[in-house]
Amino acid sequence: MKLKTGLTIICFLVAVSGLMAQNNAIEKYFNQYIDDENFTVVYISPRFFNLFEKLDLSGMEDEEAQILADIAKDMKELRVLTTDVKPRKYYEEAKAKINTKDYEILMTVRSKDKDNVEILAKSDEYNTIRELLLISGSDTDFALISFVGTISMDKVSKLINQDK
Amino acid sequence: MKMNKKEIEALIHRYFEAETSLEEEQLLRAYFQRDEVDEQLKIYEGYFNYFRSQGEIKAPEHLAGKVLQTIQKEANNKKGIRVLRLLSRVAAVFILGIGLWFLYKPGGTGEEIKPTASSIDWSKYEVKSEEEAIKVMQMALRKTSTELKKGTNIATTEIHTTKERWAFLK
Repeated sequence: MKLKTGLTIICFLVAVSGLMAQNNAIEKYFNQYIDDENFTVVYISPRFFNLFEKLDLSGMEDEEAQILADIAKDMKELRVLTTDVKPRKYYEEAKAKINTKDYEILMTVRSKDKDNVEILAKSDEYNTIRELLLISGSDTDFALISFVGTISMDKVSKLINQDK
Repeated sequence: MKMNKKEIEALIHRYFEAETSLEEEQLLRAYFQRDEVDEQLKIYEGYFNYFRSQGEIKAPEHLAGKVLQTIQKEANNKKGIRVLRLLSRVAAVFILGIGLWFLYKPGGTGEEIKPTASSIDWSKYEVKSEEEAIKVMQMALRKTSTELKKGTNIATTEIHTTKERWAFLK
């Protein structure tokens, strides 16, 4: 009986650790780029997220700065992956890799100067965004920004609509 | 108790009909152990003496230990079989899970590349100071904010332009 319980617990822990290991798109889909010398990788762990109050968002409108600080408050991790080598190729590759059943496209922007941006969100069953992912690609650079945490869609909408 | 030939014959008859009592069977065995068995009844002598000789066989002293050892071994084997059965169930569930994952794995927007489980050591890429953390957070939030707003502005402008283009139809 003890053996049975032990095995069940081990199976559960293995399953949970497997899921935990992939809670962000960069790790899930772009892990082969992380050790690539052409890419710059930056990670901010949860211990730094209590610094949101110190964010200097001067130059922004007060309301916008306030909303951004409010969004940052609920974040846990931030990952950034950038490169200036073959940015267009990586942008197309990134778009192809993202699983659209996991990630909902919030916005696709293609400007006249061919700067492409895609903003995606992974939500839980309560419609709370658990990851906000930004993919941008232009002639000069490619960037992936992944915010992990609890991101309220209301707050994101406020940000979009605040200067209308 | 001295018995004559007829009585013995009657007892033998009842013995083979399975009608004799334990005492009567004892009498029969005692009769055939004697030296003076009737000539006509000697054909039964070997039969009754066989059971007597078998009854005298004693089990070797180490036999009990051996039997216990065998029983213990079988019990251990059964325990091993139970563990194997449990492990095979766990393996079956695992294989079923993998199968379901491949069956229902979600599709991508285009070229599908399998998500890979990894254990990346993110601490290697972690910012070293609070200042750096704040700088990166600001940059990331500003970029996201700008792009979100740019997207909605382009959409709004396009909707206005389209409305103006088709206004003559009204």
